[in-house]
Amino acid sequence: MGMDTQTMEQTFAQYGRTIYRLALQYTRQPPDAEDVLQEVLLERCRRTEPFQSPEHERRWLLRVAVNKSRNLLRTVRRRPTVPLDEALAEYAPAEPSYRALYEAVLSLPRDYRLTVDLYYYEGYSTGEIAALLGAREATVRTWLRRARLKLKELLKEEWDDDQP
Amino acid sequence: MTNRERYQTAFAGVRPPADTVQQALERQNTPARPRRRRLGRTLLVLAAAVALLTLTVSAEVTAGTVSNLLAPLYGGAQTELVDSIGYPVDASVTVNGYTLTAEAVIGDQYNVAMVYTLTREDGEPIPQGAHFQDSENSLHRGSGGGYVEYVREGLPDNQIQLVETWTGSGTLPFLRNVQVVFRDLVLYQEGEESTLLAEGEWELKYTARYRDATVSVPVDNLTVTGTEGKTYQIRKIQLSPLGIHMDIIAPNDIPKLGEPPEHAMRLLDDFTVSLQLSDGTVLPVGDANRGGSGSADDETIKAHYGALFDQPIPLEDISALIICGTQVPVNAG
Repeated sequence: MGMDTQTMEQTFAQYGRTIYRLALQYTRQPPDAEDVLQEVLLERCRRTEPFQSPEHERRWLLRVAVNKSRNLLRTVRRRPTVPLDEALAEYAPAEPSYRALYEAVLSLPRDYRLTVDLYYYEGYSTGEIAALLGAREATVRTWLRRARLKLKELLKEEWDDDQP
Repeated sequence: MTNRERYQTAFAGVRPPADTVQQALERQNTPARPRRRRLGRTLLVLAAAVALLTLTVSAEVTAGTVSNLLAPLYGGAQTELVDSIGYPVDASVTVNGYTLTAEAVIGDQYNVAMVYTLTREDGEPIPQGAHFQDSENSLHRGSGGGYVEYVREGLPDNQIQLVETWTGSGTLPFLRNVQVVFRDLVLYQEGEESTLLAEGEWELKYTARYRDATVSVPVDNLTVTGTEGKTYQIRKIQLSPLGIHMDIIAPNDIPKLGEPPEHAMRLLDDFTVSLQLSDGTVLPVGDANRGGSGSADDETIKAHYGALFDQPIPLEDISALIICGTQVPVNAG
């Protein structure tokens, strides 16, 4: 198990936060996001084919994370979510304006949340996001536009749409 | 500071547990271990926020029976309320070495939920990922939506439980005989074809004998505006401790012939509903069934909105509904 452990630990160190954050945006349930992350790490260890580049590996991991999250939602009942329950509150920033942004993003519909996260945190283009989520690029652009409008409505002057 | 930088700062605190690798290795080394879905913290937060209501339990049902049977659905919360509304079923059928038992049912005029237990009679483990290929329930008539959840937590390896829910666009025929059929137990594996575990039809008949606690919430020419500016006229609100249903006049967002399928998302897509509790807590209603019908040429259509709550809530604890930001008092006391 030595090689498996090393690969898993390296993947966790390098991509664990990204995968977990994406899974959390998908499921809004930390225990489910933890399960998704563990499943992604196991899939990574099972893969024998080498990656073409570090970016190739990153996108592969994110696609697996999206698929695992989607499968989890298919077979496990989804309960109505609350905007900031105790479990999500532990990750919220203390500074009020950042906390407002954190809460606002988590209140968005799932597809908007994922698009915003991949766009603003990971820096992917709408075309790359479409490939990761299995959607059409035009659809992703719509999600991003609507997400920005919603964030502007919720955050007002705290969200500058003229900024990247 | 750019929006990107602000976003990254806002989410910088999101981190997975430090023992994730160890947990993953344990999962890899014990593949038969049931998947543990920890519901505790979220459900406990909701349960703690809502005061219990003392009710008279029916003499026909021992106190705690139904709430225990429905624990996979509600996690043991609001036991007295669940005991007063739900009803035990105890109907079983055995096919091909697997026994399916309908344990208990609960519902209101538009929502129904049932818990089943599937037992492998030879005592061997039921593989992870096992589920029925498809099912039919005579209660699920007309338009509506629901799902079947498979639960293993706290059960022996040769048992899984099914939580089946349905939210209808019209009233459900409760107090009627129900016929439900589950077909072909299969095993789903990532990236592979499903494997047939047990072929057959598990058919059960029972009476949906739960107590309907639905009340009407007064709506007097109520018009609300959604988050994207769409206008909705609320015609009817039916509320129970288990769920909510609304009849709505909505803008005609039904996809036209030839439109891309994602346009089906537009109907009621900016329509939001929350419950305001008497202690000030606001609970957004998340997953909901939304639908409508009308002519493509009409500007408005008749639509419906319905949802089964995550937890039962005594009506006396719901002070108002917040529909697209508009507060609607609930005079249910």
